[in-house]
Amino acid sequence: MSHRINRWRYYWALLVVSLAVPGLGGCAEVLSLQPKGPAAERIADLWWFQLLLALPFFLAVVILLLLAIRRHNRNNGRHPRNHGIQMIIWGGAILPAVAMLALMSFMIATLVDVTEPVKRAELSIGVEGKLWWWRIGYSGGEEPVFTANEIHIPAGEPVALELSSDNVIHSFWVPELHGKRDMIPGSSDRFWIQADQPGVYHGQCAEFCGAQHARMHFLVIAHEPEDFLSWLEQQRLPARLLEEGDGNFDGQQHFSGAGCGSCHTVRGTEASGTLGPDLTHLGSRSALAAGTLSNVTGNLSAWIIDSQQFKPGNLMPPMALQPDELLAITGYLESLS
Amino acid sequence: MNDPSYEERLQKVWQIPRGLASITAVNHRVIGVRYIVTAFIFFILAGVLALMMVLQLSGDNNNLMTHETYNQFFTMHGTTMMFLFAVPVVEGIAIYLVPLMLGSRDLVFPRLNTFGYFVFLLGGIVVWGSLFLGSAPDAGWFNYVPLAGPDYSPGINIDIYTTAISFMEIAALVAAVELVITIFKVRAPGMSLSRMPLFVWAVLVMSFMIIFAFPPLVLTSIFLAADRMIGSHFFNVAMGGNPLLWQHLFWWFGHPEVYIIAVPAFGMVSTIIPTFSRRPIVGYLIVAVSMVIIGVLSFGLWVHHMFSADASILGMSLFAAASMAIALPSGAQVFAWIGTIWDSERVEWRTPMLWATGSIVLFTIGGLTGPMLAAIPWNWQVHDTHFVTAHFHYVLVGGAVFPIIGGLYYWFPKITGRMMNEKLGKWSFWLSFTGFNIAFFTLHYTGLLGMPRRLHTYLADQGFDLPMQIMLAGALILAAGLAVTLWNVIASLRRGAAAGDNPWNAPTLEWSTSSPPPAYNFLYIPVVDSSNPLWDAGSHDDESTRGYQTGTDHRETLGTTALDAVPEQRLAVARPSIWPLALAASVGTVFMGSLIDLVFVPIGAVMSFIALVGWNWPGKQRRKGL
Repeated sequence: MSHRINRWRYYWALLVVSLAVPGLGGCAEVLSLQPKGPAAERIADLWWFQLLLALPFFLAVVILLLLAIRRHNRNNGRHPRNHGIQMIIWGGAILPAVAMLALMSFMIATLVDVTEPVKRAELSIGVEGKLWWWRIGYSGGEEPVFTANEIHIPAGEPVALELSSDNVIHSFWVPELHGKRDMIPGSSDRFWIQADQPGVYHGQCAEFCGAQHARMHFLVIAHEPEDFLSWLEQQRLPARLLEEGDGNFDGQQHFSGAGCGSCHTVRGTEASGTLGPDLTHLGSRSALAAGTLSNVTGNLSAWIIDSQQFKPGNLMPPMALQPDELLAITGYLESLS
Repeated sequence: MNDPSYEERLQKVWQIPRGLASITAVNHRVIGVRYIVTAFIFFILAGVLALMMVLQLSGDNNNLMTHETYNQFFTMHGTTMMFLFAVPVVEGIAIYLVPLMLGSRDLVFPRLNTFGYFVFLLGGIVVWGSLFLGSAPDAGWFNYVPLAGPDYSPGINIDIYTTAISFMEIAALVAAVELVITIFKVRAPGMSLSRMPLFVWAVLVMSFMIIFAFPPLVLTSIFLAADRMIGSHFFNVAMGGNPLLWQHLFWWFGHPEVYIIAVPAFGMVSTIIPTFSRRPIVGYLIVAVSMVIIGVLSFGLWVHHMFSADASILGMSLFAAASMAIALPSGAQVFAWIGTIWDSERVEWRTPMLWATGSIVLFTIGGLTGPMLAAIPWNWQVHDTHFVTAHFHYVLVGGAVFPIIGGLYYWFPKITGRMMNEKLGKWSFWLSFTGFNIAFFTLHYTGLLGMPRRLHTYLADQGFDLPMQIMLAGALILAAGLAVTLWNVIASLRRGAAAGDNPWNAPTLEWSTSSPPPAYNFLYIPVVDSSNPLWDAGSHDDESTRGYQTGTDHRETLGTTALDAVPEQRLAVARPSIWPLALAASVGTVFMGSLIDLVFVPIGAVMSFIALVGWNWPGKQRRKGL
């Protein structure tokens, strides 16, 4: 029989190894468990609490099973027992009931904390889910300011978000700051986030929203409050309407001539389309097409010529442009910073 | 007493049609095996899709497949596993086993049952045909509107979903109705509800759940089909429709669906473990009641799929509490299984036992992440990430597929008369168990990393590459393990050792007849006075309890009362017939024809009417007044 026992031990060792394997991938950042704001922090606490509740049950099941198996290998039938009903009563009723009550209490406490911020949010930002990018809007000032795929916020204070979608369902999620919230067409929903420190936090659409669901990233960029205000002030400035003789005048003309303005807005010029992202300050953004490409000259040109190659199905048609036209447009867009 | 001509007459009237005529066969074992084999073919197909998806995700910005292909693959993987594998396979096993476990000659409505199989087959072929034509459903098995609505999915893809899914649900529903009535009306004399095998209890719970869960799904699919085909506005926001309506109706079905699959699998574990522990299950009543409670509670949980969409804290908390409460009946079953092994005097570690025990470990892991997902704030963090994917694969593969494969090893000897190879069976188990854990435990981790579900690709700096490669390795090991079982089935069909009537020395009635059983199942309808009749036999070997004969002029079985199984009537059972196939094809014309042109709807309706008339045309026997 000892041969048998060894074999079982070997098998269980295999199980342990298989459970440990994911730890090997530990070089990446575990965003959900590395909170950078109060809501995500409370949620991470909830995780550790429920993990602590769950582990004893898992160990109890495995250890009791192992003991039951081992016992048979040793004492083949010599020690019949009658513990089964007690196991059911403790393992299937009393202990899980206590654990679930504890979990429910901790959950409700967490829920109260993460639903509303402690302090009232003074800043409210509009976040619209589009196919497949994010329109970010700041009200106040003379007219609202729109940008795309980057949510700039002041660090250390709660920020209210007005989530909405006019197309399919998206889900707003910045794992380091809060849980996710679906954006249901036909209703707008108030949500909040807070980053304790200045930094860049990755966000992504979490509800399957069609062809390019996978390429619907965004960034939350938290600044020191005074830096945030100067950023916003800068964003409020319209683009300068260029005149003949100005550096990128050709680019502006070709931009207009190619019809870009029917989908894109460049505030201060005649381009006022709203189908695509507002480009008034495109040059200040770090990425193109919701995180698909980094915002450098080559990528911008390639995207303009044939965006379908990078993000098939997106709403921007390929543009038939002469090389000099493309160069001029790219230069013009990069100057919008 | 042993009248040979009675046996011959029985054989003649229950004869299973052979050759080309076998298309008319209605015997429950024939239909059951067809269900099981067809479902496993879909299982393999959907498994291949899964491997290809994992391959695509094994590197950032991978170009193995386009987003169109990927989106169709993950939709078809989910849809196939749920609608074309899991539900049909448990129904198929139930269709095969329930009459044998009850001591009946057949189900009560064999033709209805046969009709259901053809509907399932036809629906499955259409759905998979659409994949090979490159226009399979691509909005996820959950098919949320407005993405699946006419504005954002104008192609035929979603029409395939709405029509084929509604069509196939007919099959699930007729099988469920059939099983409920069979379980209540043709149990062996003496088999009161309190003596019914736990697998039959599980099937009873499953069938009631199907009856309550599937109609809302059919309804909401018809709403969506109407939105898409005739311009109605059930889900059209601009006209006052509501996308959340779809989610409520879908998850009203969708959450019970998980238990519709899992409860029969629990029933298999509750059957296999006592057999190899050589003792009755600990807490029979608790286990039976637990399954009933799960069945009821599972209808009060659906909102936990929508926590991130809804904002009423109090309302959601009630659903969270109900979701957590299901841990109790599930835990009770797990500890009943462990307790049975613990209290056993001698456990035999045969292959079915290994799969059943492995399932306890895997189901426990899935069961423990369940309440975590019910904890609303944590749900907001991991909802729609790989953490959820990991959770439900532990529940559905660990908690259902493992027992089903254990059940395959367990009942294969009864179905074919041959044993499966033990050594291959154990190899298969350990490969599958190891591979499964490597693949799916890793997914908890990628979920925590922040990886949403249903991505066809991801960025280089997100840190998903290595874990997804580990996932790929695990998936390949799992596939190898399952392939060993496939090979085992094929090889054992030809070369397996003869099984005999009861190779496992099991206690339930299906093992009292030959392997494979004769067309009429039992020579005499057995009489039962215990919940483990074959173990407790011998206490009553007098003539009076040998069993009941049934008439041999036409097919009939013994009808008994619903609660105590007291004989009350001779139930006539239908003969082989071509009409179930004709009706399935006619109803199929209504549904599938509507994809091509709405004119097929009235054409199919007329065909269905003709088929129903043919089905119900009085046969010779009935005209003679029998």
